[in-house]
Amino acid sequence: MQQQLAKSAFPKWALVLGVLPAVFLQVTMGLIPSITTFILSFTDISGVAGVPWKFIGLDNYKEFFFQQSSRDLITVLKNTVIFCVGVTVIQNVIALFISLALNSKMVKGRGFFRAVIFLPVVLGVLVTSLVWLNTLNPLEGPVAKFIALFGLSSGFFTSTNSALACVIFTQVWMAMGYSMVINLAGLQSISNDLYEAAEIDGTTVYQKFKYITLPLLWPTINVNIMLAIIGSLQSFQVILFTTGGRNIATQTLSARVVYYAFNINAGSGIAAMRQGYGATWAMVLFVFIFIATLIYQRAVKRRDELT
Amino acid sequence: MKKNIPLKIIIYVFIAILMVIYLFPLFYAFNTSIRTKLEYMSNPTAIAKSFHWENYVQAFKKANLSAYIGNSVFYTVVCTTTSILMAIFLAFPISRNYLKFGPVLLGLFMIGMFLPDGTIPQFQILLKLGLYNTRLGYMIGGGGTPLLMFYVYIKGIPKEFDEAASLDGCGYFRYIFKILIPLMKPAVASMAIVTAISVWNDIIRAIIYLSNKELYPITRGLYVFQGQYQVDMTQQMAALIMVASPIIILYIFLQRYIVDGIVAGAVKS
Repeated sequence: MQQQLAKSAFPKWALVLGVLPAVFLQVTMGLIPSITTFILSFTDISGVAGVPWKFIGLDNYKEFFFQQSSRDLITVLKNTVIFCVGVTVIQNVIALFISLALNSKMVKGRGFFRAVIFLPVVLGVLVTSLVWLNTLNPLEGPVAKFIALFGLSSGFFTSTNSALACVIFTQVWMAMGYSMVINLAGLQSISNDLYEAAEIDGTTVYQKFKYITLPLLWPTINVNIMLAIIGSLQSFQVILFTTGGRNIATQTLSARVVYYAFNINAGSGIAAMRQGYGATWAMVLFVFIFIATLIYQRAVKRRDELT
Repeated sequence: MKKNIPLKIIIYVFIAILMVIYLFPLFYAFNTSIRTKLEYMSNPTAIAKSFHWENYVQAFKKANLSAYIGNSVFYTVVCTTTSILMAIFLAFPISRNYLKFGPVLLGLFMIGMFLPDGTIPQFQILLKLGLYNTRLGYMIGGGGTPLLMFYVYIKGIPKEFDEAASLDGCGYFRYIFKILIPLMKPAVASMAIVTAISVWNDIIRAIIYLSNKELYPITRGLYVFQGQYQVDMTQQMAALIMVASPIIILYIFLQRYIVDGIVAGAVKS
């Protein structure tokens, strides 16, 4: 990385002038707000212009840990863990199989299948959520009718028992294509010579997978898992548009941040946008993400040491 | 390759199941959208016998989509153009190692994901500046800065172009627009489409920053159906098809660029 500073063909003032807009925006709209979240978590600032606000010390944190219903807090933390682990594991396991299948020359029409699976990534979260709300309509929706054939029924997004599972499913459906294309890029960088050599040695499909594909694809899968962990902890959009803010059964930390700070879907009950308290939730989420990535990195390191 | 036949069957069955899970909800959304409300109420899952486009007309009026389409196009074009240009002007000197503080700048843009979420203070800043509920406030920070793909791509463009251009008396800004950007066409196309799709699809910022209906983007129009007590599914799905179809059409023709752009965006982490 140690490179000599290159002699510029252009005047330095022009280069600096060109860099300025992006840097200015990044600092004022990116870095300063990120750090200010910490400061705001000690205030009672609201989201309404002109309302006076003050520093209230640790009151928000006290409220977070001791004053809110501990049952709600535990539910939210539990949901956050289930959502994160559920999405990360399901998405990566299925994406691995999909990318192996759609990388194999045995399969005709691979391009079309890839395109279909990637489509929800570009359709976006609102369209995805509404499409699945429609499909998983508990009253006479197609899936409801289908499982009724087996004598089953479910409230899907509306029932406490199944809502979280439905939210996880929708999130995975939406983001699967993303993991798939990253995996495919990784698979394409594995040299064909290795497989040919293995074939001459008469290895089975499973052996090829275990001794060639998996070890060589591991760095890519690792990136995918990290992206899924961080992404799922930050994402609240599917939850917001499918089950809303009122149903505690699907609330995660990130969903609570917008619930308190912006009252989206919170119903008409709460009038004030409690952005100071919302910032406290954002800080807890930040610590949560930090710990989750740390635990994952540790686990990977230990695994690497073992092998 | 005889022994591979069972495996082949398993793979095709697996793909078939996936295709049903991925295509059925979209087909069903379309099916819902072309049926009359009465038909839908009597049997939601039946296949439409005839096309009823009334829902589209009604949804178009009810969600005020005609006005919102204009807004969405405006936001998408402005946000995409500015973020692409800003990113190129940022990536060029860093990639060429022309600036002493280049690595610091790179770090400045990479560190963001290791910091807490800044949505709330960002809202406060725009509120204080009087930019809440304005087009400008909505668009600031809406596009992001797709720095990394350009950073890598510019490394592949020989430095001799810079020197030759400057010897011929070509100024910096003219050089970027007339020579560099045409040389970067694939990268610019990828990042522009990806940025445009993310701006077009944005809904969270639209909910947070815009309360004036005249400023709504098209997704916000789709969202008005949400939260109503009696959601008219046929109209909602008609509105949804109208919001999604420009993206689907774009996707069919430009899939290669879109996938490249999104993969490049992911690898930066």
